[in-house]
Parts: sequence; structure tokens; C-alpha cells
Amino acid sequence: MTPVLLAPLALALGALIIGPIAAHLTRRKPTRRVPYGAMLLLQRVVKRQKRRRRLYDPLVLLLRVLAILAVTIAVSRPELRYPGVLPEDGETGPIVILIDNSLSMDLVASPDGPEDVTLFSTAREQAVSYVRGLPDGVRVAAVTMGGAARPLVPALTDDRGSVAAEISQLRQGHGETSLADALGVARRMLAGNGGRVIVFSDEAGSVAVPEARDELGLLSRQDIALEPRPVRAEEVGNLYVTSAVYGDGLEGGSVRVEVSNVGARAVEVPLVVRLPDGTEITAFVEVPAGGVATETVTVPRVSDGGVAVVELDDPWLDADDRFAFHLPRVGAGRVLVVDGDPGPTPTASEVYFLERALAPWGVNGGVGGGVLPDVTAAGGLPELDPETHRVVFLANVSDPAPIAGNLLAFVRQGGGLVISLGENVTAERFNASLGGLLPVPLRRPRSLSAVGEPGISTELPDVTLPLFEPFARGGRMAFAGTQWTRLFTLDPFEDGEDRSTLLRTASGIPLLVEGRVGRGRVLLFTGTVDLDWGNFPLQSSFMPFVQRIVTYLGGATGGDGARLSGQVGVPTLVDLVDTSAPIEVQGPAGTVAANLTGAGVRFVPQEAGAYQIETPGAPPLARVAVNTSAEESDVRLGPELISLAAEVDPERYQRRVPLTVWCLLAAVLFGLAQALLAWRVERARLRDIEAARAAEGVEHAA
Amino acid sequence: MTIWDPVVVARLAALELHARTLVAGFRTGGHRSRRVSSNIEFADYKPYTPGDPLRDLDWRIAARSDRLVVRRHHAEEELAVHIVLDASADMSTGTAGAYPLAGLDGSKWSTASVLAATLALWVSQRGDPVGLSVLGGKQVQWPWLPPKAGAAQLGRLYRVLSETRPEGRADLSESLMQLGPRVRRNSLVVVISDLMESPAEWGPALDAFGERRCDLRVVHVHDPDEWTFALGDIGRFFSPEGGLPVDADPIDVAAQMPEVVEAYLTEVRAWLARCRGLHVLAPTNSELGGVVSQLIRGM
Repeated sequence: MTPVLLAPLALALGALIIGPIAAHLTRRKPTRRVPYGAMLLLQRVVKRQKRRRRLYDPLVLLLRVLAILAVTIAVSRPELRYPGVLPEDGETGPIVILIDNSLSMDLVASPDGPEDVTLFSTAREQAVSYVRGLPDGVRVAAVTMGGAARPLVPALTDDRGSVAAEISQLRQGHGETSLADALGVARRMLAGNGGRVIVFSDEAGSVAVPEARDELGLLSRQDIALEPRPVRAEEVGNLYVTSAVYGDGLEGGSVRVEVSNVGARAVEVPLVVRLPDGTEITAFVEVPAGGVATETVTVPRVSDGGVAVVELDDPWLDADDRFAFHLPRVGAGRVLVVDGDPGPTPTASEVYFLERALAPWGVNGGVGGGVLPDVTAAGGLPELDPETHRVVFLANVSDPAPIAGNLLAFVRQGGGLVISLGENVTAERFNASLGGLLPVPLRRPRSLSAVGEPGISTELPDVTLPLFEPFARGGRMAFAGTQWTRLFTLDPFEDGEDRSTLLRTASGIPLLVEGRVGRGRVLLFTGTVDLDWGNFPLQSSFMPFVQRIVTYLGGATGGDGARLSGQVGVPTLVDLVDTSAPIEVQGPAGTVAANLTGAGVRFVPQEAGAYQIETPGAPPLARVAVNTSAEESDVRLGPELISLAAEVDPERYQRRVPLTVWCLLAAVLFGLAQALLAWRVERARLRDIEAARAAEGVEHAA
Repeated sequence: MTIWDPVVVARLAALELHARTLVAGFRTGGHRSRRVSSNIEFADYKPYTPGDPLRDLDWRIAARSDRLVVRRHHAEEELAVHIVLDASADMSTGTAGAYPLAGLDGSKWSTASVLAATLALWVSQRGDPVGLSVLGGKQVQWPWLPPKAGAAQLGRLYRVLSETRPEGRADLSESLMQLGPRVRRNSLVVVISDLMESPAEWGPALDAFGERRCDLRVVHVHDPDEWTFALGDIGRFFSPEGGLPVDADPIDVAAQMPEVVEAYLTEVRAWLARCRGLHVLAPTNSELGGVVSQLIRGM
């Protein structure tokens, strides 16, 4: 509200107030000097008069000054201007209805009322009623603004019935408010011919309205009037999960859930954490009014990795009660050891050393973390699943041909493969069957020293390489004690993007070569992991090196690219290496429509939860944790649209109330009040005089 | 100024004339003393106490009622009258006076001096001593005339009254405090003043007369026009005694004046009541017969 004077120069008349003030200050100066012998009495009279004048004189003066000021202000034509008020112009031009069906509009209109009466249903009802109440001939259109702005009818039409029907069929969405886009659509539909845009929205959140500032400017320039029709709930409140993070803790770790409450009262609700393997963990969380609460739940010691979901139940907004987050595999990582050379004695068996290096405290000791080795023969290799086994050790297998296909798929999907060699290995078979996996083709075994003589020592590893980073703090020198009497030689090669030599002997013979295949990696170890060709299993560096290999190759299921996050209503693109196979996107409610592109798959999630991109019958290629917009969950009233419109075009959006008549009325009232007061004072004075004269008469008569 | 100042002579003549005219209207006779003494005229009884003269015992009452009472008698002696006259400048104001006095016609002073002269003449004719104290004033040859009887004293008193011009301040409080110890015990003190000083200031000074068992009578001289403020148009009113002038509209002041005067008189009477003083109003516009009559009643 702003007071404005249309004729401010008229305020100069305010100088008139000097009149009564001067009259009060400059009383009549008597010219007659009279000797008076009863000054004692006169002073007492004056004292009594002063007491009375102190009360009445300033009041009369004030009323007179106020009367003159009121007249002065009235002449200056004052008016009050209320910004942010809809103009009452009775416009009958084309009209575009904007209906907000974003997530926040799913708020129940009243917590005590029926749950199906939401802000959206109320707005939809009002919009339908408004359209049906328009006079004949008015062209109208409707645009939604939940998620991407979308016109409900292709163009302005005078068929109000069809527009009303389209609005009636509109459904609640879970996307963000796209007010700016919707205003742009409306502006283009009106095509610069003026008209009005009626917006049915809750105006919640702090982003949607401010983002529309530019569009409001364009509307104003095209003489398009904006008419917000805010829809508000009786009680604004909402609980929603702002974050859920897996971290360290007892058992298998913990999930720290942060819950926000935008309501005006504290709420305690049940909170359920649903893990990918179906395990449900329930807790209760009490969230203070307008605050945030955190709840930590403990994860079981073993749990599958994937997308977990936190669910809570609040009485206001259901659509954002689910929050998806990525949970890594919890518990022991499983390693499959393919034993190609079951030796007669433990020291002659690769598996003997590998098992002890992988699980030095036994199988039970690896449950809380570490590695659980599974041993199998080459013939009994089960169907490999990167979700089950992270790493496969191929130890001195003579003929890998039967398992080559599974290994290739396993590695391509992200699995890790370690190939150690030995006397059973023949270069021809390996090169033939594992050609797609070997970083470098094998050539032949080669003796490096005579029997009984020490072998060739190992070069100290480069600890700047990720594989050997842990050995920078200690243990690097232990590699120097490893001696090799025999190694498999490789075809000549040069390190490149797909392969690199990680470790060599002191004479420069490649000892460990890494290659990349699909999403996975292969480590080719040219020695043996028993004592046939060297003393490596007896070195102190052996066990940490094997453990490190598992961590290095199988740190995360599916690799980083397979864990994605998305938002409801926002297109999500998942990069895929191979899009030739049939791809499906599975969401919380089943298969989701998706478009395959050359780079991957693109889909638009419509609700929060876990999404999987998968090839039928195969492990998931990627997992996407999809959530609703936190901005939409904050249903508190943001900047008002009408206020922003008034900022953009102040002249249009303000109400003017002329005050001239009121000022004149006030002047009359002040004038009458001062006249009444002056009359009462004068009457009292005359009454005193009369009484004095009467007393004097009685005295004379006596 | 000489004794032959025509104004003084005119005043003297006028004073004598007025005094004699007024005194002629009253009977002459003896008066009783306030003091109780042994004499033939019975006053009252009191219970006998050891030390009382046995000859004053009333044997008849003792015989009838078996009670010992002593008869008491009025003493017969001369009564000293002391006139205290206010000659402050305020006494020179007033125009409605009934007793013209050269140069001061109609003023409160003319009324006060005529009253003092009348009283002095009346006392002198009875053969009692009369004295005069003038508070304030100008050209006062004898501000203090101790009470004496005889024509010479009356002449001196008339001369003082004739020569004195009201001026300055009377300082009633200070003056009465100084005067109290100087007056005779059991004398009659007549204060003639307009009492235009705050009663709260001079009231306590009256106790000095009460302590000396004086019969105090206060003649309150006032100009009715001053008390009703019937003083014409708006003006700047000032006291001849000095002080800040006051601009006033007589219409407004007159409306308030009765209440103020009433409150003032109540205050004056309250202070006089403390020392059993008699308060006699003497408006300047009326005959002084009534005032003198009230004043000498009981002498």
C-alpha cells in the first residue's frame, strides 16, 4: 500500500496551519495598565485558568490544525495504491487457462477432509467451472504446467466444452512446476493479440514464480493480462526425505535418512527402509515443525547392492513419500576360483595358496567384509553373474574353451578376471578360446634360470598405479624378494589404452598385464600362484596383493556408469555400450516406455523409485534411483505471482483508492469537533460569569 | 513635607470629622478587663485549691452542697488599645470608597485611616490609652506610637494618619512577629489591613498576640470592585507593591473570582480562629458604622 499525492504542490496550502497556531500564540496585548491591590487573588484566578487552558487550548489547537491539514491533503488529491491487485477491467479477449498439476498440487486441501480432495482437484474444478462460465464467443485454451508445459488443446477455440472436458480429464503429475514454460506456451497461443492468462496454481516453492519474471515481462509487452487464481490448502505441511546415505556402522553399516518437515506442527511418522533384497527396516522419526530430523537405520551384515527405497507416511502429500538411493553390496564379496591344477599336495596347488590369501581367517571371518572364495573345477563353472561373483580367478586351467563364452560375458558386464598360468596352459588353446579376453596373446613358457639356482627377482612395483597404491605406505619392498625361475612369455606388445603392463621382472619380462574388455578388466599373470615357477606365495606381499586384486577388479558392481540418479518428469539418458540387444526399463510400476538411441536408452520416469535397465534374462545393465523434486516437496507458499507481476508491470497490477472525499470528511469532522469544544468552553465561561454576577447580586442585596 | 501641607491638613480635618461623626453614634461607658481579679463584680466560680484566699470561699454553697468553691471577680482597670495599620502600597488602590480623603479618595487607605481615627477617638474619649503601629508606608513620622491616654496622643495619632502615604510592602508576617512582643499584655490589638499577602505566611505570626493574651480584632478592608474584578476592559494589572504584571480579561477573571475569594476568606478565618481573633470585613463602599459597632462590641 503506497499513499500518493496527485497534486503535491497543493501541500503549500499547509502553511495555513500557521494561522491558528499564531492565533494561539499571540493573544491580545492589553494597552491599559491598571493598578490592582488584590494581586494575590488575581494570581490565584490565573492559576486556576491556566489549569483549565492547559487541557482545552492544545486540544482546540490540535483539532484546528488537523482540520486545515485534512483540507490541504484533500486539495492535493491523495490516493492509496495497493500493489499486486488484479485489475478489474472486464476483459473479454482470448483466454488461456494454466493449470498446475505439479507434485506440490497433490497436497490435500484439508487434513481433516477426504484424501482425494487435493489442491489439484480443487484447481481443476475451479478451472472447469471458470471455462464453462465464460460468455459465448470467447476463445479459450488450456495448458498444463506439471513437468513439461503441454497445451491441452492445439489452439485457441470457442468450443468451451471441449476445453472443459480436457481439463476434467487432466491427471495429477509428479513433475516440477514449469510456470515459465507454460506462460511461454500461453503467450505463443495468444499470438500477440492481447487477452488474459488465468493461472490456477498453489504458487508453492521459491523457484517457479521467480523464474517466470522474463515471461511476465513479455506478457506485459504484448498487453496480455495475468490473472493468478491461487489455490491454497487449509494447512500447509509436508514430510519428505531430503537424503538417504549409506555409510559405516554396526553390522553391515547404516543408512542415514534425513527428513524435512515444512508443516507448522511436529510430526512423528513411521519410516521404512526397503533394501534391494526385499528386507524392510522400520523406524519412527519425529520431525519438528519447520525443521529437519535424521534417523539412522542399521543394515544387515549381508545385503544385495542396488537401489533401496525409503518410504514414509504423512497426511499431506503422498507422491513424495518414497525416496530411492543407491546401496552398495553389503557383506563379503564372492570370488570364484577355477582350479585348473588340483595338485597332489597343498603346496603344489594354486587353490591352496589362493584360498588362504583370499580368506586368511576362514570362510566365517569373511562374512562381515572381505572375500568369500568359491572353488570350482573348469568343467563345473556355473553361470557367471557379476551380482554374485565379483572376480574370477582362472588358475592354471588347461582348456578354457568351455567356459570362454561365460567369461567373456561376465567380463563385459563388469566382472573381473585374473588369469594365472602354469604348466597346464598352452598358448594355442588360450589364444584361441580366450582371444577376446587376453590383453596380449601368449607365446610359450620360458625357463629363466637353471635348476637349483635362484630365479630372477621382481622389479619394485610403481605405486602410482592404482593397483599398487596401497603398497606406497609399506610392503613395496617385499616384491623384491619374489624370484621367478620360469614365466610365460607374451607376444611383443606396446602399452596402450586397452592394455598396460603393471609389473615386470628385474630383467623386464612382463609379469602382470591389464586389459579392458567391455565394462570389466582382465589381469594376465604370467607366473603361477603356487611354488612351481617361483616363490611368490611364500612372500609377505602375496596375500595383500591378492586381496588388492579383488578390491581393484571388483570394487563396485557394474562400475560407476551403472549407478544413476534421475528425477520424476525429467528425461533420463543411460549410456549403453551395446544397444543391439533388446533393452527394457523396469520401474516401480512395471515396464516403462523408453527410446533406444545410438548411445543408450532414454526414458521419462513418472514416479519415484528404483528403475533398472536390463536385457531380458540378464543382470541389470544399470540402476537408476529416481526421486521427485525436493523443490516441489516444499509446499510452503513462495513469492506470490501477482506480486511479481506487479513488480514487472506496476501500473497494471495495482488498485487506486482516491482519498479526497475522506480527507474532506475528516476536515469537516475536525472542524465540528473543535467548534463543539470551543462552544463548550465558552458556555462554561459564560455560566461562571452568570454565577459570579448572581453571587455578587446576592451579596449586594445582603 | 511640612505640617502645613494643605493635603495633610485637609486629611486631618476630614479624619476628625468622620471620626467624630461615627463616634457620636455609639454610647459611651466602661468596659471589663479580660483579667480576673478581686473586685466587687462577680465573674464565676472555681473549685477551691490550697492557696486560694479563704475570704473568697462561698460559705453558702459550702453549707448547702458540702463543696468548696471560690468566687471570682472581674478586675476593673484601663484597657490599652493598639491599632496596627497596614500602609502598604496596595492600600492605595480602590475607587469605590465612601470616605473621601484628599489625594486618596475612595482608596482602601482612606477607609482604613478613617476607621483608625474613629477607633482612636472612641478609645480616647473613654480615657483608655491608645497606640498606633504603621506597617509600610511613606512619610511616617512615628511608625510606632505606644499606647497613651490623652488628647496629645490622639493628636499625634491623627497627625501620623494624615501624613502617611501608603507605599512599599507591609511584610505582614515579619512586621507582626516584631510587633507581638511590644504590645502590652491583655491589650486590645486591632489590625486594619487588606491582608493581601498569603495567609499561610502571616497567619503563624498571629500566635505572638495570643501568647500575650491580647484581644485580637482584624479589620479586613477591601474594595468590592477589586474582589469582583469589575474593572472594565482587558488590561495589564499590576500591584503597586511591585512584582510581575498580569494580563487579564475582567470577564474571565470575574467568573472565577467568587470562588477564589471564598477560598481565601476561609483560609483567613481559619488562621484567625487559631488565636481566637475576630474577623471583621470592611468594604470600602459602605458606611463604617457597622464595622465600628462590631469592632467595639465587648470592649
